[in-house]
Amino acid sequence: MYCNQPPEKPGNKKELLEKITNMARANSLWVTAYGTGCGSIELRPLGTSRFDMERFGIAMRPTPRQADVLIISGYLATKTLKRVIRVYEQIQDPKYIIALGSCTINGGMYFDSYNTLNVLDKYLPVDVYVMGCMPRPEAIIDGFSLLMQKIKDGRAHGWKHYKENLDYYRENQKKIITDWDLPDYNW
Amino acid sequence: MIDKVKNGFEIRFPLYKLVREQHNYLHVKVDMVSAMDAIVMAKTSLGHNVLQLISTVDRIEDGVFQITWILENYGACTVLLISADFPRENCLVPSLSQIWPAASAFEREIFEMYGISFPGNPREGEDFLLESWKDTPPMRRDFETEEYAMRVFGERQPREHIDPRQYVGDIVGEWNTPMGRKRKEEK
Amino acid sequence: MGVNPATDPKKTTHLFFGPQHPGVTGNMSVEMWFDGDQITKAITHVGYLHRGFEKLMEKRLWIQNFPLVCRICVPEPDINEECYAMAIEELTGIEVPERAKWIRTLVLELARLAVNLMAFGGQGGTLGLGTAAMWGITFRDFVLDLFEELTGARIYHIYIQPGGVRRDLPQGFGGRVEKVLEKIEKRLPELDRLVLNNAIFKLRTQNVGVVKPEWIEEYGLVGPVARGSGSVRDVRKDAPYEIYSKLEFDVVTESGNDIFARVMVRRREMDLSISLIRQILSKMPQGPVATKLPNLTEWRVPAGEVYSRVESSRGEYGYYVVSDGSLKPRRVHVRGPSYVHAVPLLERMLVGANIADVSNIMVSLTTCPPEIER
Repeated sequence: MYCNQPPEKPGNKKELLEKITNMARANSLWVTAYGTGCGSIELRPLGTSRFDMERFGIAMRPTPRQADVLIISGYLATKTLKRVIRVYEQIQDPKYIIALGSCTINGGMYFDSYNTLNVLDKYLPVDVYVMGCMPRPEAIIDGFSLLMQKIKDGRAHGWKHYKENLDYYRENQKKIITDWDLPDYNW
Repeated sequence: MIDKVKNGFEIRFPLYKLVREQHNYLHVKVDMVSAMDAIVMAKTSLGHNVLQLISTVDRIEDGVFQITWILENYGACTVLLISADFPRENCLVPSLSQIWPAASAFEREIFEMYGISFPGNPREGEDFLLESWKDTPPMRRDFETEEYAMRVFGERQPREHIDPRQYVGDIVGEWNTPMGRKRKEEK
Repeated sequence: MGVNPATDPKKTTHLFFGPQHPGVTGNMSVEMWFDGDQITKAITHVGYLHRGFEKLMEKRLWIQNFPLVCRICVPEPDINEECYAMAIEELTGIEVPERAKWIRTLVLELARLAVNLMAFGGQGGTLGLGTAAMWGITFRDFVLDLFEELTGARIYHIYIQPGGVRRDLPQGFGGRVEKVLEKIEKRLPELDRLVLNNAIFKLRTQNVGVVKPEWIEEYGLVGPVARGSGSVRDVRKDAPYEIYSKLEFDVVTESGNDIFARVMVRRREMDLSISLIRQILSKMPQGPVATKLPNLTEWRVPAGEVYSRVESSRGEYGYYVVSDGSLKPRRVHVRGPSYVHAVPLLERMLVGANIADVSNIMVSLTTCPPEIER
């Protein structure tokens, strides 16, 4: 059911080939439909004709297996963290994370809550943060275009970083999830 | 309408305490032994047959948990709140899940949040809001949420603080801010 | 018999629906056991959005809680502010100016219209009518633009405060509201044609997801869920708050008991909201919009306990607020209508339902996870 092998380390492809594939990747970002927090309410207007994210090649996909981007839309409760890790690891490489809202950056207004994470960076590799509570649809589109620019420049390394430093992330995740029952390698 | 309810309490529970009364609202406090009788009486003979909420207040200074049952009469749209104090140590409160199926969910939440046990609730102990919680139940007054968040989620990065008056003053000159103009006039 | 079908692994399929699933409302999940494609047992799992609001509110000043309470319900935050402000006014005895009451009602009705638009379209969306969902959200955006002009924010307004509202209506706001109402009114028949007159929609919703009338008092059902089963309960009518006693309206009720009846209730509530907004705009008096509050950093609310309730788009919304006379609330307990709809009622309704109808039933209850979990 699961892989019991550690993840393959990403190899170095030829530079030109990488550039061309990055170009293609940047222009078809598919998003996992997982509303982890309240920011997901502003993702819906993004699909309508007013903001129209499909003109950038961004589309919503129902399953993580078809997607490239995971949007952490707001504060992450500890109970959700487990599910998010599972979803993130199921996404095929390359994969990117966009985090919405001030509460993902440093806890925001939930800094002293006993059930929400303060700094998301410790648990998952975030490529783009969009600030605001909650971010407007324009801000989310801006975040997407920043991510696209990062991919084109070959700077969106979050997933590589996650694989290379899996021990660090796992250690932090296990600190929160005390009854760890996920497989060690989940892809 | 609410007078009838009040009369019922005066006859059955002469020692009840009136907390708040309005034309469609009554809050009474009874002792812990007669709480169940009061609720059953409210349901069967006073017409308040809908359970809206079971709530708890941790009165740590008195060493009691105050449990409040909020019952409604849908026909007359009146609210009846029945409170009772239960000792804080080894707190046991009779369950209402045999009378109202919805009570089970409220009681599961209170068990998780306060550690108050409701004997007779068949689903007690099932995870409701939290997952594998090992600390003090979080809604108790002696649980320090900020200290817990610091310990588990780590300290968040300090914020760069900018004095807005100085910041604006640097840009537009000292006297150009509203505060500055006022001070200039005073001089 | 002898074997419990819910636990016998040979006979049943065990499935999780959510939390990562496009058909789930928000972030919650249902664990289900199937015999064939019929559900034999269902358990709702909530808590994925638990932020510990009630604990945080005990740690903050009375006025600091307004940014917190509005985040309890994402699609319709104003009812939370209203409910919390009403509780504080009840405890302190602060008087609300007449005009502020009218403005508050206007805000609440606009929010209700926005939510109902989204829920009505969303119901079509679960059955594959993607266009309906898109249109509903697009029309809602018109209302959000009004909110942005009035309060400065699209989603979380923090507009209602104890003793009034934060600022007066901008110049010519009524005219712009009227324009938006006209725009929505013009489009609603198209939405009707798309959803209510659709044969597939009727087949999939009529006699599906039945809420029996006797469940209403047994579970404490409220709002469109109860009104779709013949109840005439509406807090706006039964225990009028703000200025609902001065407005003319009839409680919307349907007797179909099924999903279609609940959708019809939402559809007619939209018409009701539009008519209420027109009445408010035509009758709104002039005057101040806020009472002066004491120094908010040292504001002690007198000791007492109060349960305040308002009618949200999903039903009766209650706040049980306890003060011990200090700077911070002792306890604020939020009773969202989804609490009983999504946990005990959904678990009961899903037994015997078809696997294809789960998301349909869930959306028809408009379960809103944040208000269950806080």
